[in-house]
Amino acid sequence: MMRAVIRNLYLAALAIFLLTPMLVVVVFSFDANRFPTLPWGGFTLAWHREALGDALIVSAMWNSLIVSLGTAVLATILGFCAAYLDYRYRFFGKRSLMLVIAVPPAVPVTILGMAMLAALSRTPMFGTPLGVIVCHVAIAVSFAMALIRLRLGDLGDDLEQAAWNLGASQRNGLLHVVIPFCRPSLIAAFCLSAAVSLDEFMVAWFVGGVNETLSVRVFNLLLGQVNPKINAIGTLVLATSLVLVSIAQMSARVGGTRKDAA
Amino acid sequence: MIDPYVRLEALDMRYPGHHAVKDLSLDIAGGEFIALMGPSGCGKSTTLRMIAGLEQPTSGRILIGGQDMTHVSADRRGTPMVWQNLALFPFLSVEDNVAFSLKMRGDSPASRRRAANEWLEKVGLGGMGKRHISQLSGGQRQRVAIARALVTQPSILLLDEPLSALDAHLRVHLQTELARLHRELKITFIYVTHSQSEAFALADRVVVMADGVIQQAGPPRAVYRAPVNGFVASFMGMNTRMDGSVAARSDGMIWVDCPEGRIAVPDTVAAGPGAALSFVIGADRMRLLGGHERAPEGHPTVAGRVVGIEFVGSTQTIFVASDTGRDFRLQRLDLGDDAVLTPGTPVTLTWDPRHAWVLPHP
Amino acid sequence: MTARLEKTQAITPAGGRTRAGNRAVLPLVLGLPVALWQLAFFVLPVIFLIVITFWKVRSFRLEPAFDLGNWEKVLTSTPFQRALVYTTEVAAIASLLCMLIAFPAAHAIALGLSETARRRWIAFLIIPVFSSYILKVYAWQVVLSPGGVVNVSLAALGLPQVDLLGGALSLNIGLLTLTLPVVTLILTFALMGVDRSLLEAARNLGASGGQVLMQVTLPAIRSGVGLAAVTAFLMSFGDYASPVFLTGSNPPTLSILIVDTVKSGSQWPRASVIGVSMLVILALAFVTVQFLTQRRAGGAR
Repeated sequence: MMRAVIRNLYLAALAIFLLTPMLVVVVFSFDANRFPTLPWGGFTLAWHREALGDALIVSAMWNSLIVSLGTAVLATILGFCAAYLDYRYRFFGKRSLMLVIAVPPAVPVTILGMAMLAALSRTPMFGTPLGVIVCHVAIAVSFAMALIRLRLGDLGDDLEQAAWNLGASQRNGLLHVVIPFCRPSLIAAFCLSAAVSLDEFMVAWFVGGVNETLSVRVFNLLLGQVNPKINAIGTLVLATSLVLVSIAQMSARVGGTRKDAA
Repeated sequence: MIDPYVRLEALDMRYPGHHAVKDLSLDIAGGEFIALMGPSGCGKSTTLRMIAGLEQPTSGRILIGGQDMTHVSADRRGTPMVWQNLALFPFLSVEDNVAFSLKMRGDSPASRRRAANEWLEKVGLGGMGKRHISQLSGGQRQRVAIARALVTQPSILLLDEPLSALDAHLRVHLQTELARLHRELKITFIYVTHSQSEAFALADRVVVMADGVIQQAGPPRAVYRAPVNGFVASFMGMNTRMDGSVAARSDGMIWVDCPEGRIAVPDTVAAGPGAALSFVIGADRMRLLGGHERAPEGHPTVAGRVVGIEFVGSTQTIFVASDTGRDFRLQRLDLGDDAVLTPGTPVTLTWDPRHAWVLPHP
Repeated sequence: MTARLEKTQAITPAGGRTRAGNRAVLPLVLGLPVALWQLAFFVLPVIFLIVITFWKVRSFRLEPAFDLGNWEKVLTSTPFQRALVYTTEVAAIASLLCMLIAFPAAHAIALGLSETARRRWIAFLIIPVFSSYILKVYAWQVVLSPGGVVNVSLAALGLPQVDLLGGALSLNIGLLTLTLPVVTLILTFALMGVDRSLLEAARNLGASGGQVLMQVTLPAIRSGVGLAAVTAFLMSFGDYASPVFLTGSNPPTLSILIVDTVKSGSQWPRASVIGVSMLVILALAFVTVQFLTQRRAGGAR
């Protein structure tokens, strides 16, 4: 009994610790005070309005939208290819390939950003949203591949063979059986890749040049003075992340339940 | 068999460390219902999968309708299969599952839907096209799998233990259904099973396999009554096998010296006196002698004790251990006198010597 | 045995002469783009970074060369050495703290909660992993600042003000925000993999809670603990946001040195040297932990 109470108190403390920073951002985005502190200065939407009126922020939003969507689409496609390749084939160099797909998120973003900047600064992609996309894909494909590979583990040989047996070429089997089967994990991979791209600021800052994403805008605002607009953008960013990660989790769980119609 | 529709020529399948199918040749007539049977790992499923093009034989040829199909890929063979675990597509509706091969063929959506629903009607699932696979019972799913395989009106249907996942009642029901479909469609059915009762109930011809080799092929009755060797005899199950040495030959009979005495068997093999010889007696050919009944002249008798009784519907199988320590099986209609046949009851077995079968290859 | 062999054999439908090429084409079509992508945008940049460490800067321009001078200058420079020691120290302490806090939580989630509650907790822990870290660091900054929520609350209670921002406390709070969710998840998954009957058997044989933990639970999840520790170290070691916003870059960490050097634009080769050194240290840490957990696994048997 006592143990359970202590355990729950401990977990509650952990939850509070993890929730506090997110709640602070959201709650104070509606606080009329310029500096986010107590006492509560009254409810206002002024900072949200001001943020949406800020040309830099609005353009950062567009950039983030483009970069996140682009990253999500490409990382999901490439992640599926990598996952299927790992699931279906054996070939020379497979381990190395899987390693260079899996490792990027483990490299500190400062180093990754510096390396990518050094390489991309010699190409026309430098300073464009495309440049940020290609770098974000290299990071996000790791997560996409992991989610889709997990789902493929449930596919089994029979469904694909049944498709071939019923006249589907290998390509059609992939298109009409493997991809539909993986759909939940594709959605999950798409959302998670978008979330990863949305939150990443170091590589985007290095490679994106003047084309700031929202996270880079937040970062640049932070380097200046305390600005209540940060809370307003932050609320938007957090809400978007929350939605994306939640969809990803729900889809992945649908995928996780074993096929019920074997 | 004048015109073999499917011809397997010297098929060989080697995996690293495992020789699954060895030099297998078999002709299957158009419209024949053939059952490949044998214990698991005997190569029957591998053979079926080679016919379907899901496995590439190490050597040998597969001809279908006179065409060499050995190197034609699975999707171009026109050999649809019903899978043991059904392999229905869980993300498609019943209708779309059935229409899958039509879609792959490039049929229009309207004609696909029409054909799919026609076939659902034929297997007794009319009006269920829009349902999700998970909403169907096991038997219904089985019917979807059959409809899905038949929708392109193939000339061959491959079935890989299709009923083994169903309960006994459903199995019998679907067995009848399959027999009806075969009668109506008049196409070749190649049916893999480990169940003797399924194979016998359905097939025109059964092929018994062991260790990647065909042991015997023939009509169920012939294989059952006249197994070519000890493996087939024991795989058929309801036999008692006896061994002895040839004592004499007379009147179309061979007299064999067994521990149970000198027993006559039909003279069907060339075996000189003293040669070892094995023969089997079908369980349904055995008879129990009544209290004071005497066996007819020349009919062997074996004394023993009842070990146990098993009921299958209206028939019963009585297990008897002879005084010589051999296990005998006797199958008969349930006479209702089993009360006196409790384990330990002494009994005497007899049979007509003409019903014994000498194994050509023990 | 047979089934396994058959499975590996049956990976493609038997291809015919007409489509013999197809079998090789599909994996190529699938694999080449992703392979080239990772090569172009991950492997080559990292290799290029290593190459640059030997280049020279002449009148603000990079010039290809093979010059070990960058390595010599950086490795012998006092700011680098200080930053190296400081960063390692910070990462080690933060990782230790993180493990100490995460383990009881993971233990409770994996072994103490019901199935539903556990699933909810896992879902809850995944969210902060993928939601803006920089915003959370900023949030801690305003909460801990002299006029922030904590100090205002203290004042309202009549207590003296405390200087929370700019020290080890705020830095560790920031780093924990980054590492706790991931590390707790790793430990939770590791603990979920432990055979519960093993723990019950140990209890049944008279082991105390502490003994079960030390003798059964921890040895069983050795590699999970290793992975969690490496992850915590890796994340703390490479982090940039917390040291910048919660200690005001004072003293600077290696990441801060890199960003300052890169953004000042002149000393790319030296920044690269720092980056490559960091990668080497992280690789060493990874290999060491791997070696320790693997070896003990071998020794236990």
